[in-house]
Amino acid sequence: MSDFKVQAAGALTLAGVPFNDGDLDVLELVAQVFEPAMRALDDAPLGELPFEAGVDPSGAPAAQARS
Amino acid sequence: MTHPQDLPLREQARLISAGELDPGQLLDATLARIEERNGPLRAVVATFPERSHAMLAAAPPGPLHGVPITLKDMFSLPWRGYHNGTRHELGAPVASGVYRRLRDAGAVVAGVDNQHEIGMGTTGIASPHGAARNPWNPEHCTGGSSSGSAAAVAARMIGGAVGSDSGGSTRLPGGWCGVVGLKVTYGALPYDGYTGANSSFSGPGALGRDAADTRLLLEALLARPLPARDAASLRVGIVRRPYWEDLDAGVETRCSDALAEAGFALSALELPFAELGSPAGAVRLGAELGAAVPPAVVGELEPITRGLLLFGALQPAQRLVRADRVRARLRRAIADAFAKCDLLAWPTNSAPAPRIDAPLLELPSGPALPDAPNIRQAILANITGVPGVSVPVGFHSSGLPIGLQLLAPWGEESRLLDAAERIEVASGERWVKAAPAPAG
Repeated sequence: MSDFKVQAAGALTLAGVPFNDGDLDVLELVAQVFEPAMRALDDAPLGELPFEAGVDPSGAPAAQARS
Repeated sequence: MTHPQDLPLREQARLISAGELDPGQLLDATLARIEERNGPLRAVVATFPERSHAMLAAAPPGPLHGVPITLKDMFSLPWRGYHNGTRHELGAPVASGVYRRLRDAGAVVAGVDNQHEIGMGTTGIASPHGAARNPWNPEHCTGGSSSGSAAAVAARMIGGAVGSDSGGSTRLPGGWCGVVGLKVTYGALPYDGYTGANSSFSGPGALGRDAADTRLLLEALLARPLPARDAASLRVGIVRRPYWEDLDAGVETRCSDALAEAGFALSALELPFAELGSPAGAVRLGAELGAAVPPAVVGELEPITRGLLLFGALQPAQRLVRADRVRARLRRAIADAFAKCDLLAWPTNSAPAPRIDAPLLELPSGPALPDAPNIRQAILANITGVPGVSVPVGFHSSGLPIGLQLLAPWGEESRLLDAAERIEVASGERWVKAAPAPAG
Protein backbone atom coordinates (compact mmCIF):
# COMPACT_ATOMS: atom_id res chain seq x y z
CA MET A 1 0.00 0.00 0.00
CA SER A 2 1.38 3.42 -0.92
CA ASP A 3 2.28 5.99 1.71
CA PHE A 4 -0.62 8.10 0.50
CA LYS A 5 -3.12 5.31 1.04
CA VAL A 6 -1.77 4.55 4.48
CA GLN A 7 -2.02 8.19 5.50
CA ALA A 8 -5.44 8.60 3.92
CA ALA A 9 -6.74 5.48 5.61
CA GLY A 10 -5.53 6.82 8.93
CA ALA A 11 -7.10 10.21 8.40
CA LEU A 12 -10.42 8.78 7.29
CA THR A 13 -10.49 6.37 10.22
CA LEU A 14 -9.73 9.22 12.60
CA ALA A 15 -12.52 11.28 11.06
CA GLY A 16 -14.97 8.39 11.23
CA VAL A 17 -15.56 8.34 7.49
CA PRO A 18 -16.35 4.84 6.18
CA PHE A 19 -14.32 3.59 3.21
CA ASN A 20 -13.04 0.42 1.58
CA ASP A 21 -9.74 -0.52 -0.07
CA GLY A 22 -11.09 0.21 -3.53
CA ASP A 23 -12.02 3.73 -2.42
CA LEU A 24 -8.40 4.40 -1.57
CA ASP A 25 -7.32 3.59 -5.14
CA VAL A 26 -9.74 6.15 -6.54
CA LEU A 27 -8.97 8.64 -3.80
CA GLU A 28 -5.29 8.49 -4.73
CA LEU A 29 -6.18 9.23 -8.36
CA VAL A 30 -8.41 12.15 -7.34
CA ALA A 31 -5.68 13.54 -5.11
CA GLN A 32 -3.14 13.32 -7.93
CA VAL A 33 -5.44 15.49 -10.03
CA PHE A 34 -6.45 18.07 -7.45
CA GLU A 35 -3.77 18.17 -4.78
CA PRO A 36 -1.19 20.27 -6.69
CA ALA A 37 -3.73 23.07 -7.06
CA MET A 38 -4.65 22.69 -3.39
CA ARG A 39 -1.01 23.21 -2.44
CA ALA A 40 -1.03 26.41 -4.46
CA LEU A 41 -4.06 27.53 -2.46
CA ASP A 42 -2.21 26.71 0.77
CA ASP A 43 0.87 28.68 -0.23
CA ALA A 44 -0.60 31.76 -1.94
CA PRO A 45 -0.34 35.11 -0.16
CA LEU A 46 -3.90 36.32 0.24
CA GLY A 47 -3.38 39.49 2.24
CA GLU A 48 -5.75 40.82 4.85
CA LEU A 49 -9.46 40.66 4.30
CA PRO A 50 -12.53 41.03 6.50
CA PHE A 51 -13.56 37.53 7.42
CA GLU A 52 -17.24 38.27 6.83
CA ALA A 53 -16.60 39.03 3.19
CA GLY A 54 -14.98 35.67 2.78
CA VAL A 55 -17.86 33.62 4.02
CA ASP A 56 -20.78 35.61 2.69
CA PRO A 57 -22.51 33.02 0.48
CA SER A 58 -24.72 35.52 -1.27
CA GLY A 59 -22.09 36.40 -3.84
CA ALA A 60 -23.12 39.99 -3.29
CA PRO A 61 -21.35 42.59 -5.40
CA ALA A 62 -18.03 43.78 -4.08
CA ALA A 63 -19.37 47.21 -3.24
CA GLN A 64 -21.33 45.59 -0.43
CA ALA A 65 -18.31 43.68 0.77
CA ARG A 66 -16.37 46.92 0.96
CA SER A 67 -18.98 48.90 2.86
CA MET B 1 -44.91 17.59 -42.07
CA THR B 2 -42.58 19.14 -39.49
CA HIS B 3 -42.51 17.39 -36.13
CA PRO B 4 -43.47 19.97 -33.48
CA GLN B 5 -40.28 19.26 -31.54
CA ASP B 6 -38.31 20.35 -34.60
CA LEU B 7 -39.87 23.78 -34.07
CA PRO B 8 -38.20 26.26 -31.74
CA LEU B 9 -39.66 26.53 -28.26
CA ARG B 10 -40.95 30.02 -28.98
CA GLU B 11 -42.67 28.83 -32.15
CA GLN B 12 -44.38 26.05 -30.20
CA ALA B 13 -45.65 28.69 -27.77
CA ARG B 14 -46.73 31.05 -30.55
CA LEU B 15 -48.64 28.40 -32.48
CA ILE B 16 -50.47 27.25 -29.37
CA SER B 17 -51.37 30.83 -28.53
CA ALA B 18 -52.63 31.37 -32.07
CA GLY B 19 -54.73 28.23 -31.93
CA GLU B 20 -52.68 26.62 -34.67
CA LEU B 21 -51.12 23.86 -32.58
CA ASP B 22 -53.08 21.69 -30.20
CA PRO B 23 -51.09 21.43 -26.96
CA GLY B 24 -52.40 17.94 -26.27
CA GLN B 25 -51.11 16.75 -29.62
CA LEU B 26 -47.82 18.54 -28.95
CA LEU B 27 -47.45 16.73 -25.63
CA ASP B 28 -48.23 13.35 -27.20
CA ALA B 29 -45.80 14.04 -30.05
CA THR B 30 -43.14 15.08 -27.54
CA LEU B 31 -43.53 11.92 -25.47
CA ALA B 32 -43.40 9.87 -28.66
CA ARG B 33 -40.23 11.72 -29.75
CA ILE B 34 -38.63 11.00 -26.37
CA GLU B 35 -39.62 7.34 -26.68
CA GLU B 36 -38.19 7.22 -30.19
CA ARG B 37 -34.86 8.96 -29.58
CA ASN B 38 -34.02 8.46 -25.94
CA GLY B 39 -32.87 4.84 -25.99
CA PRO B 40 -29.32 5.33 -27.27
CA LEU B 41 -28.86 8.70 -25.56
CA ARG B 42 -30.26 8.10 -22.05
CA ALA B 43 -31.18 11.75 -21.77
CA VAL B 44 -34.55 11.36 -20.06
CA VAL B 45 -34.98 9.04 -17.08
CA ALA B 46 -38.67 9.44 -16.31
CA THR B 47 -41.85 10.40 -18.06
CA PHE B 48 -45.34 10.43 -16.52
CA PRO B 49 -47.90 10.97 -19.29
CA GLU B 50 -50.92 11.04 -16.98
CA ARG B 51 -49.33 13.68 -14.74
CA SER B 52 -48.25 15.72 -17.75
CA HIS B 53 -51.71 15.62 -19.28
CA ALA B 54 -53.23 16.60 -15.94
CA MET B 55 -50.82 19.52 -15.74
CA LEU B 56 -51.82 20.55 -19.24
CA ALA B 57 -55.51 20.36 -18.39
CA ALA B 58 -54.95 22.77 -15.50
CA ALA B 59 -52.42 24.99 -17.29
CA PRO B 60 -53.16 28.70 -16.92
CA PRO B 61 -52.59 31.19 -19.71
CA GLY B 62 -48.97 32.25 -19.78
CA PRO B 63 -45.88 32.63 -21.92
CA LEU B 64 -45.32 28.87 -22.03
CA HIS B 65 -48.95 27.79 -22.09
CA GLY B 66 -49.08 24.15 -23.15
CA VAL B 67 -45.36 23.94 -23.95
CA PRO B 68 -43.54 20.79 -22.75
CA ILE B 69 -40.35 21.22 -20.72
CA THR B 70 -38.08 18.69 -19.01
CA LEU B 71 -36.19 19.17 -15.74
CA LYS B 72 -32.97 17.94 -14.26
CA ASP B 73 -33.43 15.43 -11.44
CA MET B 74 -32.55 18.09 -8.86
CA PHE B 75 -36.03 19.63 -8.70
CA SER B 76 -38.96 18.07 -6.89
CA LEU B 77 -42.35 17.70 -8.51
CA PRO B 78 -45.60 17.21 -6.61
CA TRP B 79 -45.61 13.57 -7.67
CA ARG B 80 -41.85 12.86 -7.62
CA GLY B 81 -39.15 14.08 -5.27
CA TYR B 82 -35.73 14.77 -6.71
CA HIS B 83 -33.33 11.82 -6.97
CA ASN B 84 -30.20 13.90 -7.71
CA GLY B 85 -28.76 11.24 -10.00
CA THR B 86 -29.26 8.35 -7.56
CA ARG B 87 -31.72 5.48 -7.35
CA HIS B 88 -33.42 7.07 -4.34
CA GLU B 89 -36.03 9.74 -3.90
CA LEU B 90 -33.88 12.05 -1.80
CA GLY B 91 -36.27 14.98 -1.77
CA ALA B 92 -39.92 14.98 -0.76
CA PRO B 93 -42.45 15.09 -3.58
CA VAL B 94 -43.46 18.75 -3.43
CA ALA B 95 -44.11 21.62 -5.79
CA SER B 96 -40.57 23.02 -5.87
CA GLY B 97 -40.05 26.68 -6.59
CA VAL B 98 -38.88 25.97 -10.13
CA TYR B 99 -41.87 23.70 -10.74
CA ARG B 100 -44.20 26.47 -9.54
CA ARG B 101 -42.64 29.02 -11.87
CA LEU B 102 -43.07 26.65 -14.83
CA ARG B 103 -46.62 25.72 -13.82
CA ASP B 104 -47.62 29.35 -13.37
CA ALA B 105 -46.23 30.15 -16.84
CA GLY B 106 -48.50 27.47 -18.29
CA ALA B 107 -45.71 24.99 -19.06
CA VAL B 108 -46.10 21.22 -18.92
CA VAL B 109 -43.43 19.06 -17.30
CA ALA B 110 -42.92 16.22 -19.77
CA GLY B 111 -40.07 14.38 -18.08
CA VAL B 112 -37.05 14.28 -15.81
CA ASP B 113 -33.57 14.35 -17.29
CA ASN B 114 -30.53 12.21 -16.56
CA GLN B 115 -27.69 13.88 -14.68
CA HIS B 116 -24.23 13.16 -13.32
CA GLU B 117 -24.49 11.36 -10.00
CA ILE B 118 -25.27 13.82 -7.14
CA GLY B 119 -24.07 16.58 -9.45
CA MET B 120 -20.48 15.73 -8.54
CA GLY B 121 -18.85 15.57 -11.93
CA THR B 122 -18.67 17.34 -15.26
CA THR B 123 -18.90 14.46 -17.75
CA GLY B 124 -22.35 12.91 -17.32
CA ILE B 125 -20.75 9.48 -17.22
CA ALA B 126 -21.57 8.51 -13.64
CA SER B 127 -25.28 7.79 -13.38
CA PRO B 128 -27.36 4.85 -12.17
CA HIS B 129 -29.22 5.13 -15.46
CA GLY B 130 -26.02 4.86 -17.48
CA ALA B 131 -24.03 7.67 -19.03
CA ALA B 132 -25.99 10.18 -21.05
CA ARG B 133 -24.62 10.22 -24.59
CA ASN B 134 -23.80 13.15 -26.82
CA PRO B 135 -26.32 13.46 -29.68
CA TRP B 136 -23.52 14.64 -31.99
CA ASN B 137 -21.61 11.43 -31.37
CA PRO B 138 -23.04 8.96 -28.86
CA GLU B 139 -19.59 7.56 -28.15
CA HIS B 140 -18.75 10.88 -26.50
CA CYS B 141 -19.71 12.57 -23.23
CA THR B 142 -22.48 15.09 -22.95
CA GLY B 143 -20.81 17.01 -20.17
CA GLY B 144 -22.48 17.54 -16.85
CA SER B 145 -23.87 17.51 -14.49
CA SER B 146 -26.99 18.58 -16.46
CA SER B 147 -26.12 15.87 -18.96
CA GLY B 148 -29.55 14.68 -19.98
CA SER B 149 -31.00 18.18 -20.16
CA ALA B 150 -28.42 19.29 -22.72
CA ALA B 151 -28.67 16.04 -24.67
CA ALA B 152 -32.48 16.16 -24.77
CA VAL B 153 -32.49 19.70 -26.15
CA ALA B 154 -29.73 18.96 -28.67
CA ALA B 155 -31.50 15.81 -29.88
CA ARG B 156 -34.75 17.73 -30.27
CA MET B 157 -36.64 15.63 -27.81
CA ILE B 158 -37.66 18.85 -26.07
CA GLY B 159 -37.50 22.54 -26.91
CA GLY B 160 -36.24 23.64 -23.51
CA ALA B 161 -34.97 22.11 -20.29
CA VAL B 162 -34.18 23.29 -16.81
CA GLY B 163 -30.76 22.37 -15.46
CA SER B 164 -28.69 23.38 -12.50
CA ASP B 165 -25.16 24.75 -12.20
CA SER B 166 -22.91 24.47 -9.14
CA GLY B 167 -19.61 24.26 -11.01
CA GLY B 168 -20.51 24.78 -14.64
CA SER B 169 -23.19 22.11 -14.80
CA THR B 170 -25.44 23.97 -17.22
CA ARG B 171 -22.75 25.73 -19.28
CA LEU B 172 -20.35 22.79 -19.66
CA PRO B 173 -22.89 20.35 -21.18
CA GLY B 174 -24.34 23.22 -23.20
CA GLY B 175 -20.92 23.69 -24.75
CA TRP B 176 -20.33 20.03 -25.47
CA CYS B 177 -23.84 19.38 -26.82
CA GLY B 178 -24.09 22.51 -28.96
CA VAL B 179 -26.97 24.21 -27.15
CA VAL B 180 -27.34 27.40 -25.13
CA GLY B 181 -26.89 26.76 -21.40
CA LEU B 182 -27.43 29.63 -18.97
CA LYS B 183 -26.80 29.72 -15.22
CA VAL B 184 -28.80 32.34 -13.38
CA THR B 185 -27.52 34.70 -10.71
CA TYR B 186 -27.24 33.08 -7.29
CA GLY B 187 -30.58 33.33 -5.50
CA ALA B 188 -32.51 34.58 -8.52
CA LEU B 189 -35.03 31.75 -8.23
CA PRO B 190 -36.74 30.10 -5.28
CA TYR B 191 -34.59 27.26 -3.93
CA ASP B 192 -37.23 25.20 -2.13
CA GLY B 193 -37.48 21.64 -3.38
CA TYR B 194 -34.12 22.02 -5.15
CA THR B 195 -30.88 20.29 -4.21
CA GLY B 196 -29.07 23.53 -4.99
CA ALA B 197 -30.32 24.82 -1.66
CA ASN B 198 -27.43 22.80 -0.23
CA SER B 199 -24.78 24.92 -1.90
CA SER B 200 -23.82 28.57 -2.05
CA PHE B 201 -22.47 27.81 -5.55
CA SER B 202 -25.70 26.58 -7.13
CA GLY B 203 -28.17 28.21 -9.41
CA PRO B 204 -30.80 26.74 -11.71
CA GLY B 205 -30.17 27.02 -15.42
CA ALA B 206 -32.07 27.18 -18.66
CA LEU B 207 -31.12 25.21 -21.76
CA GLY B 208 -32.46 25.97 -25.21
CA ARG B 209 -31.47 25.53 -28.83
CA ASP B 210 -30.71 29.22 -29.19
CA ALA B 211 -30.72 32.44 -27.22
CA ALA B 212 -34.30 33.38 -28.07
CA ASP B 213 -35.68 30.06 -26.84
CA THR B 214 -33.55 30.30 -23.73
CA ARG B 215 -34.83 33.82 -23.13
CA LEU B 216 -38.44 32.65 -23.26
CA LEU B 217 -37.79 29.82 -20.81
CA LEU B 218 -35.79 32.10 -18.54
CA GLU B 219 -38.53 34.72 -18.51
CA ALA B 220 -40.89 32.05 -17.24
CA LEU B 221 -38.42 30.91 -14.58
CA LEU B 222 -37.58 34.41 -13.40
CA ALA B 223 -41.22 35.52 -13.73
CA ARG B 224 -40.19 38.78 -15.33
CA PRO B 225 -39.64 39.97 -18.88
CA LEU B 226 -36.13 40.09 -20.28
CA PRO B 227 -36.50 42.52 -23.18
CA ALA B 228 -33.90 42.09 -25.92
CA ARG B 229 -31.53 44.98 -26.50
CA ASP B 230 -28.95 45.77 -29.12
CA ALA B 231 -25.63 44.30 -28.04
CA ALA B 232 -23.49 46.14 -30.58
CA SER B 233 -21.87 48.43 -28.05
CA LEU B 234 -21.05 45.82 -25.44
CA ARG B 235 -17.47 45.78 -24.21
CA VAL B 236 -16.02 42.31 -23.67
CA GLY B 237 -13.13 41.63 -21.34
CA ILE B 238 -10.65 38.89 -22.23
CA VAL B 239 -8.95 37.31 -19.23
CA ARG B 240 -6.15 35.33 -20.84
CA ARG B 241 -4.71 33.85 -17.67
CA PRO B 242 -5.91 31.23 -16.89
CA TYR B 243 -8.99 30.95 -19.10
CA TRP B 244 -7.43 31.17 -22.56
CA GLU B 245 -4.45 28.98 -21.69
CA ASP B 246 -3.94 25.26 -22.26
CA LEU B 247 -6.79 25.01 -24.76
CA ASP B 248 -7.36 22.74 -27.72
CA ALA B 249 -6.28 24.81 -30.71
CA GLY B 250 -9.55 24.37 -32.57
CA VAL B 251 -11.55 25.48 -29.56
CA GLU B 252 -9.38 28.55 -29.03
CA THR B 253 -9.55 29.60 -32.68
CA ARG B 254 -13.29 29.17 -33.00
CA CYS B 255 -14.04 31.10 -29.81
CA SER B 256 -11.69 33.94 -30.79
CA ASP B 257 -13.22 34.10 -34.25
CA ALA B 258 -16.76 34.18 -32.88
CA LEU B 259 -15.98 37.18 -30.70
CA ALA B 260 -14.33 38.98 -33.61
CA GLU B 261 -17.22 38.17 -35.97
CA ALA B 262 -19.71 39.61 -33.48
CA GLY B 263 -17.84 42.90 -33.53
CA PHE B 264 -17.60 43.39 -29.79
CA ALA B 265 -15.07 45.85 -28.44
CA LEU B 266 -12.50 43.55 -26.86
CA SER B 267 -10.02 44.47 -24.17
CA ALA B 268 -7.49 42.43 -22.20
CA LEU B 269 -8.09 42.26 -18.46
CA GLU B 270 -6.32 40.73 -15.52
CA LEU B 271 -8.33 39.03 -12.82
CA PRO B 272 -6.30 38.75 -9.63
CA PHE B 273 -6.54 35.38 -7.87
CA ALA B 274 -8.32 33.78 -10.84
CA GLU B 275 -5.86 30.90 -10.87
CA LEU B 276 -6.85 30.03 -7.32
CA GLY B 277 -10.51 29.82 -8.29
CA SER B 278 -10.31 26.11 -9.09
CA PRO B 279 -8.87 24.90 -5.79
CA ALA B 280 -10.93 27.37 -3.78
CA GLY B 281 -14.08 26.30 -5.56
CA ALA B 282 -13.26 22.62 -5.29
CA VAL B 283 -12.70 22.84 -1.53
CA ARG B 284 -15.94 24.63 -0.70
CA LEU B 285 -18.10 22.95 -3.33
CA GLY B 286 -16.80 19.53 -2.33
CA ALA B 287 -17.68 20.25 1.28
CA GLU B 288 -21.12 21.62 0.49
CA LEU B 289 -22.12 18.84 -1.88
CA GLY B 290 -20.57 16.15 0.28
CA ALA B 291 -22.37 17.29 3.40
CA ALA B 292 -25.70 16.93 1.59
CA VAL B 293 -25.30 13.28 0.58
CA PRO B 294 -27.17 10.93 2.92
CA PRO B 295 -24.73 8.34 4.36
CA ALA B 296 -27.07 5.52 3.37
CA VAL B 297 -26.63 6.44 -0.29
CA VAL B 298 -22.84 6.71 -0.32
CA GLY B 299 -22.28 2.97 -0.54
CA GLU B 300 -24.19 2.77 -3.81
CA LEU B 301 -22.36 5.56 -5.59
CA GLU B 302 -19.89 5.07 -8.41
CA PRO B 303 -16.25 4.65 -7.32
CA ILE B 304 -15.22 8.03 -8.77
CA THR B 305 -18.00 9.80 -6.88
CA ARG B 306 -16.96 8.07 -3.67
CA GLY B 307 -13.37 9.10 -4.32
CA LEU B 308 -14.40 12.73 -4.75
CA LEU B 309 -16.48 12.60 -1.57
CA LEU B 310 -13.56 11.14 0.38
CA PHE B 311 -11.22 13.76 -1.01
CA GLY B 312 -13.64 16.41 0.19
CA ALA B 313 -13.82 14.79 3.61
CA LEU B 314 -10.03 14.97 3.94
CA GLN B 315 -9.74 18.70 3.34
CA PRO B 316 -8.38 20.57 6.37
CA ALA B 317 -10.57 23.28 7.83
CA GLN B 318 -7.81 25.87 7.39
CA ARG B 319 -7.92 25.24 3.67
CA LEU B 320 -11.62 26.01 3.63
CA VAL B 321 -10.95 29.32 5.33
CA ARG B 322 -8.34 30.16 2.70
CA ALA B 323 -10.80 29.14 -0.01
CA ASP B 324 -13.35 31.57 1.39
CA ARG B 325 -10.79 34.36 1.42
CA VAL B 326 -10.01 33.64 -2.23
CA ARG B 327 -13.72 33.76 -2.88
CA ALA B 328 -13.94 37.22 -1.37
CA ARG B 329 -10.94 38.33 -3.43
CA LEU B 330 -12.52 37.00 -6.60
CA ARG B 331 -15.79 38.74 -5.85
CA ARG B 332 -13.96 42.03 -5.62
CA ALA B 333 -11.87 41.24 -8.70
CA ILE B 334 -14.88 40.50 -10.85
CA ALA B 335 -16.68 43.63 -9.67
CA ASP B 336 -13.59 45.64 -10.63
CA ALA B 337 -13.53 43.91 -14.02
CA PHE B 338 -17.17 44.77 -14.67
CA ALA B 339 -16.39 48.41 -14.00
CA LYS B 340 -14.25 48.24 -17.15
CA CYS B 341 -16.32 45.96 -19.38
CA ASP B 342 -19.84 44.62 -19.79
CA LEU B 343 -19.05 40.94 -20.24
CA LEU B 344 -16.21 38.51 -19.75
CA ALA B 345 -15.57 35.83 -22.36
CA TRP B 346 -13.60 32.62 -22.73
CA PRO B 347 -14.16 29.09 -24.05
CA THR B 348 -16.75 27.07 -22.15
CA ASN B 349 -14.70 23.89 -22.36
CA SER B 350 -10.96 23.50 -22.87
CA ALA B 351 -11.46 20.82 -25.52
CA PRO B 352 -14.34 19.04 -27.25
CA ALA B 353 -16.28 16.29 -25.48
CA PRO B 354 -14.10 13.23 -24.84
CA ARG B 355 -15.09 9.64 -25.44
CA ILE B 356 -17.12 7.98 -22.70
CA ASP B 357 -14.87 4.93 -22.67
CA ALA B 358 -11.69 7.05 -22.50
CA PRO B 359 -12.65 10.37 -20.93
CA LEU B 360 -9.47 12.31 -21.41
CA LEU B 361 -9.08 15.80 -22.83
CA GLU B 362 -6.17 16.25 -25.21
CA LEU B 363 -4.63 19.53 -24.11
CA PRO B 364 -1.29 21.20 -24.92
CA SER B 365 -0.12 20.26 -21.40
CA GLY B 366 -1.01 16.60 -22.05
CA PRO B 367 -4.02 14.33 -21.56
CA ALA B 368 -6.22 15.35 -18.65
CA LEU B 369 -9.28 13.99 -16.90
CA PRO B 370 -12.10 16.47 -17.66
CA ASP B 371 -13.15 17.68 -14.21
CA ALA B 372 -10.17 19.88 -13.39
CA PRO B 373 -10.04 21.73 -16.74
CA ASN B 374 -13.82 22.02 -16.80
CA ILE B 375 -13.95 23.44 -13.28
CA ARG B 376 -11.19 25.87 -14.14
CA GLN B 377 -13.25 27.27 -17.01
CA ALA B 378 -16.56 27.35 -15.15
CA ILE B 379 -16.14 27.95 -11.44
CA LEU B 380 -15.73 31.73 -11.41
CA ALA B 381 -19.45 32.28 -12.04
CA ASN B 382 -20.29 29.96 -9.15
CA ILE B 383 -17.79 31.43 -6.74
CA THR B 384 -18.97 34.96 -7.42
CA GLY B 385 -22.65 34.19 -8.02
CA VAL B 386 -22.82 35.99 -11.35
CA PRO B 387 -24.79 34.62 -14.32
CA GLY B 388 -23.06 32.88 -17.21
CA VAL B 389 -23.98 31.37 -20.53
CA SER B 390 -22.49 29.01 -23.09
CA VAL B 391 -23.26 29.86 -26.71
CA PRO B 392 -22.63 27.45 -29.61
CA VAL B 393 -19.96 28.94 -31.88
CA GLY B 394 -19.10 26.13 -34.24
CA PHE B 395 -17.78 22.63 -34.62
CA HIS B 396 -14.41 21.06 -33.99
CA SER B 397 -12.65 19.05 -36.68
CA SER B 398 -13.91 16.00 -34.75
CA GLY B 399 -17.46 17.08 -35.57
CA LEU B 400 -18.26 17.94 -31.97
CA PRO B 401 -19.69 21.31 -30.89
CA ILE B 402 -17.71 24.19 -29.42
CA GLY B 403 -19.15 26.67 -26.92
CA LEU B 404 -18.13 30.19 -25.97
CA GLN B 405 -18.78 31.26 -22.40
CA LEU B 406 -19.89 34.74 -21.37
CA LEU B 407 -20.25 36.09 -17.83
CA ALA B 408 -22.21 39.21 -16.88
CA PRO B 409 -22.65 41.20 -13.68
CA TRP B 410 -25.08 40.16 -10.97
CA GLY B 411 -28.65 40.05 -12.32
CA GLU B 412 -27.74 40.75 -15.94
CA GLU B 413 -29.02 37.55 -17.54
CA SER B 414 -30.66 39.56 -20.30
CA ARG B 415 -27.31 41.06 -21.31
CA LEU B 416 -25.92 37.55 -21.74
CA LEU B 417 -28.75 36.65 -24.07
CA ASP B 418 -28.40 39.91 -26.00
CA ALA B 419 -24.75 39.07 -26.64
CA ALA B 420 -25.55 35.45 -27.45
CA GLU B 421 -28.09 36.55 -30.05
CA ARG B 422 -25.54 38.87 -31.62
CA ILE B 423 -23.06 36.01 -31.87
CA GLU B 424 -25.73 33.81 -33.42
CA VAL B 425 -26.68 36.44 -35.99
CA ALA B 426 -23.02 37.07 -36.86
CA SER B 427 -22.66 33.39 -37.73
CA GLY B 428 -25.84 33.35 -39.81
CA GLU B 429 -27.36 31.22 -37.02
CA ARG B 430 -25.76 28.18 -38.60
CA TRP B 431 -24.46 26.72 -35.34
CA VAL B 432 -27.76 26.97 -33.45
CA LYS B 433 -29.81 25.73 -36.39
CA ALA B 434 -27.64 22.66 -36.92
CA ALA B 435 -29.22 19.45 -35.65
CA PRO B 436 -27.56 16.08 -35.07
CA ALA B 437 -28.75 13.04 -36.98
CA PRO B 438 -31.00 10.91 -34.78
CA ALA B 439 -28.92 8.30 -32.97
CA GLY B 440 -29.87 4.80 -33.89
